[in-house]
Amino acid sequence: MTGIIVDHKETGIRYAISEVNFNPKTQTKVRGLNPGETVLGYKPRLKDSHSTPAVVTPKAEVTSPEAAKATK
Amino acid sequence: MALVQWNPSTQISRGNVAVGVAPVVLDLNAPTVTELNAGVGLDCSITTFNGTSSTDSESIDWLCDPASEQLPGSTTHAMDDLVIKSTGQADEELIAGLSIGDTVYIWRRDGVAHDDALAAAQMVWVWKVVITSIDPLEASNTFVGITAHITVMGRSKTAVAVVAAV
Repeated sequence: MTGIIVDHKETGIRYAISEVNFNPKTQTKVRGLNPGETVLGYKPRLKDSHSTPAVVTPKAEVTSPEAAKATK
Repeated sequence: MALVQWNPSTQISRGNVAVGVAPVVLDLNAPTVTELNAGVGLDCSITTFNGTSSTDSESIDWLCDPASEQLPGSTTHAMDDLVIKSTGQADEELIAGLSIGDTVYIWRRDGVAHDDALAAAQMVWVWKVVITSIDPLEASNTFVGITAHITVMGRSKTAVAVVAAV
């Protein structure tokens, strides 16, 4: 079975499913699996941070000392 | 200090248990309301639900000691087959929700009326499972349905609190 990476529309989580289980009502297709990735082994994660700025902003404030170090 | 008796009021389970299948949960120990709401509720279409676990153990017989020492090994979680009421015809939504062969998350909430909306701080058990196959239910004089065979890959530590949002 071919696997694909999808984004869940409601929750914004990126995870892997088999192509036969793709449901365009709730999921958007992102890409196929890379070599070494498996459907069951792919760890779900929040999709790229720039599409969810509301979550990223407070995190950036918390880690600001580290961020300052990084820029030095 | 006097012994405190743990004795909550007796609550019947029927009507006060909710079970659902969610497509994806980031953290088994911190499911969000949105994640669980994205799935299918099953409590009106199943009659029983049972999740169990078992742990291997190793007994060691030390020469000096007539009593064996037992060491805990790894714990395996399991879940009984789910018998789910279906129509036999228009079941796309249910079958899509089960994502046969892929990882899905089965959750269960106890002690709250089954139709109460999921809310933060409610306690749920979450199992990470693969529904490996489904069968038609035995054709006897009961109801039309499917049997879902389930392999459990992981479970929340115990009942864990639902969190508001990611």
